[in-house]
Amino acid sequence: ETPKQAEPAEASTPAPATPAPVTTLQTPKSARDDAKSVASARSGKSQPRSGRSVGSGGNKSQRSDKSPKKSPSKKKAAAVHTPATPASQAEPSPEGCVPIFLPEPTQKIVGLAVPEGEEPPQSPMHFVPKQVIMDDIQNRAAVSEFKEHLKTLNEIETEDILLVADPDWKYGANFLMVVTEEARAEMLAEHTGEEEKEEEHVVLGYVPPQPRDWIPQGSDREIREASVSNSRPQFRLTYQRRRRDFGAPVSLADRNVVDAAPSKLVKNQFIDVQALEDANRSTTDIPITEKDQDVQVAPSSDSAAVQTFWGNPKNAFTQYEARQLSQAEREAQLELPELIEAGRRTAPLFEQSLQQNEIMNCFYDDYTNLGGDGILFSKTDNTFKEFQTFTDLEHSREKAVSHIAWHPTLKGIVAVSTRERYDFDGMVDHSAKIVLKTSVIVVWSFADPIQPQLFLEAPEDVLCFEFCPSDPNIIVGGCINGQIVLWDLSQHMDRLKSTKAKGRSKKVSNMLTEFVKTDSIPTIRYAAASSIELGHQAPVTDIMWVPDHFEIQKVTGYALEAKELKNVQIISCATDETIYIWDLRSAKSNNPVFKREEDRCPMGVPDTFWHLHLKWKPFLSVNLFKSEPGGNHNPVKVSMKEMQGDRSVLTKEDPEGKDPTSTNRGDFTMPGGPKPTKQRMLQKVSTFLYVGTEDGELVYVDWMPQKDQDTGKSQTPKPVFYSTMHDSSIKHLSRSSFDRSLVLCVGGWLWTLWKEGVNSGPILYSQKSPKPLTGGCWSPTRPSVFFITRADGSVEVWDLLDKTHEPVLVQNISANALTYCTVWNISHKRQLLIVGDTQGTAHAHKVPFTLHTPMAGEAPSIEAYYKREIQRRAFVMGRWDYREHEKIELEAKAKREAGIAPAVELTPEERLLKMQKKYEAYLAEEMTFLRELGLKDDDDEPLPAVE
Amino acid sequence: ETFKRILAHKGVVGVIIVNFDGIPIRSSFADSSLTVQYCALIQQLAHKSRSAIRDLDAGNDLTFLRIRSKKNEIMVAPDKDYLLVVVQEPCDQP
Repeated sequence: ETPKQAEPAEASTPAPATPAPVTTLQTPKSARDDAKSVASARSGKSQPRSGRSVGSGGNKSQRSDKSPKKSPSKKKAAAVHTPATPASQAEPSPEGCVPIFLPEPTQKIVGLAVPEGEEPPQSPMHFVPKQVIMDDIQNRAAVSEFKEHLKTLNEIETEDILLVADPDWKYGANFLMVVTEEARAEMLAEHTGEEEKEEEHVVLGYVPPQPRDWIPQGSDREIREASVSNSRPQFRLTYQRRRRDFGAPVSLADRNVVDAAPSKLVKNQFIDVQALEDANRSTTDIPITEKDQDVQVAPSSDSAAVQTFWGNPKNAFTQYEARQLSQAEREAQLELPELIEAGRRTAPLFEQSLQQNEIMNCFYDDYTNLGGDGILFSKTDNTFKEFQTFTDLEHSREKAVSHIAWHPTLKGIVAVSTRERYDFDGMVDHSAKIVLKTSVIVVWSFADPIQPQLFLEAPEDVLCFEFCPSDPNIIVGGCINGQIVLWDLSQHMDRLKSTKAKGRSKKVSNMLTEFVKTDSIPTIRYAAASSIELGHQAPVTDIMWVPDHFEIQKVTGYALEAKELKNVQIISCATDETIYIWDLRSAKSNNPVFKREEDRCPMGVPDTFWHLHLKWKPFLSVNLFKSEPGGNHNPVKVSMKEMQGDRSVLTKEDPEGKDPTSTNRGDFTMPGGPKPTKQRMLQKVSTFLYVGTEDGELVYVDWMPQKDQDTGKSQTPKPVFYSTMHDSSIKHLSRSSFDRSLVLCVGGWLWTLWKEGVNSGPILYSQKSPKPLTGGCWSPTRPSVFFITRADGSVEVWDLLDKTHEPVLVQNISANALTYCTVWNISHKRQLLIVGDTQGTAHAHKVPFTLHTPMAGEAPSIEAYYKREIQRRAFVMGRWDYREHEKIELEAKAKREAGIAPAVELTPEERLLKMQKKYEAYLAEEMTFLRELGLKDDDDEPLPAVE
Repeated sequence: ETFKRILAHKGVVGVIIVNFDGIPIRSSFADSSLTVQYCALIQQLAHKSRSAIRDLDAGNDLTFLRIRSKKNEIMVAPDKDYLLVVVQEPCDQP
């Protein structure tokens, strides 16, 4: 008996399948029993059959806590009555139950009958009210099946009688009437339990069992009884055997039991086990239904591999000293025949490979000479890319860009000058308008493409200007009225620098903008302008600084070494047939007093050059006389060989510094020069200028004046040569920065390439372009590349190493005609091309990579190309001479044929022969004459012939 | 005389005869340390090359080894007991 306590009734206890009749007294009990059965079903254990052990202590204890007080007495009564119930059926009916046969009419009366076609109720339990049965007994009297149980029925206190259907006639009748309280409870428990089991799954939740105190209920005693303990002192037994029996030989033999059976002696030694006979079946009849048999299958073979880490054994050794053979050993080895044999065998192999290497240089790397082009050659990279555009609405609109110059030291600062687009007549017509307008040079910074940095005010439109290379604050410009104008930017340099910084970092600008942005763009007035009377009389078309390493001497025009290395001299040319050379210092020493008298410069212009203002005059003029009568050349562009920053002339001159002739000449020039004693003559300086004229001529002239034999005045010699290749005014004239003797001349519809010293003609010239060319410039990084601007707004790029018959690239940049172009190498990787057009806009474009990065070996190859061209030129010259000769000869021939000239040309031998004949004839004649005179005897005659 | 004949070739910088222990027997290099270095390294290289060739085909053998580098070419002829090493620099031919 387990100490199982009745579970407390669950709230979710399902109602029993059968309707429980309401009895005040009995209901709690049946309900409790129901609950108990539910609990037992849930715990998975069958409820102990309390019905079979009626009145047992276990049963009592089971419901001791809740059982109603009446139940014990009831039980007793039930116990008394039940045995009295006759049980004549095949099986004894359970206690407290009476088998009863109810025929169908009775079933109907009681309400048990199942109507036809209906399912019989699942539960065999039927509660029939007691009153119904009692009525039945009274109504039918003896016929009623209940009559015999009347006594029992009267005993039952419940209002209804439980009838359990027994369709199998298990207990001898088709119904079982439950008469006692105990049996009733059991029956209900039995059947509802079955039902409850099915509903087990429905129960929700799991209530963990609570540990409870141990309540001894008798099992402890059982355990105590089951356990074994020492209840008496332990026995001690000693078995002994004689010493001699140990290890004694034993003889065992078979013995026939049957023979020995009669003998009493033997009988004691047997235990006869009789075969156990089963009365029902013999052992042999039992079939073997089950057999224990084990089979184990194991693989017959097994392969296994194990790899253990095992370091690769290595021979380690350190050699501190190289093994060497002694001299003697070596000698001995060398003598060995094997060695000689080895040498003999291997020598051919060596010779073969050595010869191979000699025949073909395997170390020659083709890739290094392949050149860099083509690697980055993509279509997109091959054109100019617009970088920035500068235009000033107020000052540069509707005007043509006349000149663009980069600041020599500050990167990204560019100055643009503009001019009115009228021709001379137009200028006259619009003079009133023009005069009112101020002409300016606009200084831009790449940091601010909207707002110009500075305006440089000029008296008239500026056609050309140039930053001073040694002092970038000074700008010299040539005006349309013939004046040379000087500006000094030194006061505004900070501004240019700050804008540069502003472009780099906004932080700095935040502070500066407050000052910079608020005030308007400063306009710088020109610091000085040249004398109107003594200067050019026509628009100044080109201006340039004389390089700082030499200066041109006054009057004589000799190139002298400049000690200060400052650019102080300017060459300018104008269409008044003159080229003037100016000196910034010229007036300085002359008019110091004058300067004092002069008013202070207006508008805060620095007085650096104020002393020059309106008094400045050139110290040397170069005239361009034409070889034939008919006026002079009209220069528009000028170019000299010496380059700023190229000091090679100085160094070249150094060893000749003490050359007597040079000193002599220096002495000779002494009176002319301001401080000539210290200055050296620079004879290597080429004093020749290339001058491009308005008529498209290229003039090569020496600026050094020569004394004219007739007048005794020193004046510029006649040009060495001039050539009229261009059909219109020269627009651009510049020298290659790689080879200063190469001159690019652009004008009219073509460009020409000249080499200094080759005067017969250009070494290269283009075919006539479809559009007039307006400007050009050399690439500063590639010797073979130059840029040409056209009047249709396109830029041509020529690469002489690629093509000479057409430009490698033509790109349209502006809708208007381009007027000027210049290239600036910003860095190793970037190059900017700025072109100005007739709308006053300066377009800055990035030069494509391939056009500014020099190719490998470009310089030598272009040099070779030029050399070839020069040779070709020389050949052309030769052919000219030849043709000339040929022409003369042809003419002579024609004359000869006409009979004027001797028909045959005689060879010298023939001539000699002829002369000899003549002489002989003369001798013969003389002889006859003398003979006639009788002065000569015939005897003297060589007579042998007569004889 | 073979030695001299090879040395007379154009561009040949040096000739070394090495025995198979890597010990120089005769060298045209003035610098002995350079000779030793050549010997030690080339001998190992030749040995390795020979074993490679022999591993590939047991009946094969290394006869000649040309190592072309950026600056020069090293030619090695391993014989039975000797190594002949020739160093040739590029001739300045186009």
